[in-house]
Amino acid sequence: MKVSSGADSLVNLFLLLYAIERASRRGYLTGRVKLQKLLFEAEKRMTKSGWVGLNYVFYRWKHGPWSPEAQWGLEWLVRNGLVTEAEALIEATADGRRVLDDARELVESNKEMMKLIESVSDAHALDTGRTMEDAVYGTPSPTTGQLIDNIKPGETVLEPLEKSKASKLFRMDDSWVQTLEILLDKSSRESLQQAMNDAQQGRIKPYKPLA
Amino acid sequence: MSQLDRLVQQRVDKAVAEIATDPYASDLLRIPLKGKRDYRIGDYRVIFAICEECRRENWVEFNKCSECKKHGRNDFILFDAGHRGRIYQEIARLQKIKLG
Repeated sequence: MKVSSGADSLVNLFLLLYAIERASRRGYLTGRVKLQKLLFEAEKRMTKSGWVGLNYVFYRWKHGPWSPEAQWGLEWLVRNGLVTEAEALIEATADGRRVLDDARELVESNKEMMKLIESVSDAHALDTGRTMEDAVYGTPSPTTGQLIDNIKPGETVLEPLEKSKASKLFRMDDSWVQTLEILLDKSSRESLQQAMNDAQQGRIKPYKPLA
Repeated sequence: MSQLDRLVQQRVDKAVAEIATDPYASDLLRIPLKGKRDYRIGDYRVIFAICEECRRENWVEFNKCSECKKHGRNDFILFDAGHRGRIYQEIARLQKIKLG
């Protein structure tokens, strides 16, 4: 199975969190099928514009285009306290919204891609997963040109463009990579918060090396 | 530090020695972690702040060390240390799964 690597995985998680927050702001993000279709639609439009932001590989599956990495991403965000999934309703938590708010600078420096995700989320705010699934089947795969309905299960429907061919890439420097590694991981976030509380309370000890 | 296993502690020791030599050979973190730096050593990270830089750049409000004035210009505060690759490890595991 093809998946992203390194910083691309963080970009995927960050944009997934953004898409979830945006979709639940305007309407209801009900179910994983709808989320998968929103991401597919957003990545398809990015690919068409020559952009590489979302880096998911979508396969033809039971309910149309499906990315195992996006499913994992949702589960990761839930496990790390940034998103809740209760009775099929998917929403960003207060912590999730805080991460997005803190990362305003990153959103601002990738404004066009974020706007594309917003427009897809807003356009389908009131659609159900089923409505979106039905609409997707009649469209051609951006990768093969075949109608998605005619693609065999397990075959690739959409892959991100090669970066060397892209006219625009998601911009994120090393400082942001390292900041997101911490913010998107609950145990890192909490451990650092605890350390900051300790420093604030004056609980600082001289460092003693092991050796 | 006491919660880390011995191998990790050794790596952190090595990182701290390297940071002491050149603390600026590290990356600054962004808001809300502003004022802190991240030093990577393989799959591990050390998060710290350079006291002199913190005061010079007015990052005291971000780092909030209550005893700031006690620390000298050559001091640095080690906030945290640990593994940095849980996300990447899980993604790498996904890669090995076959569809079907």
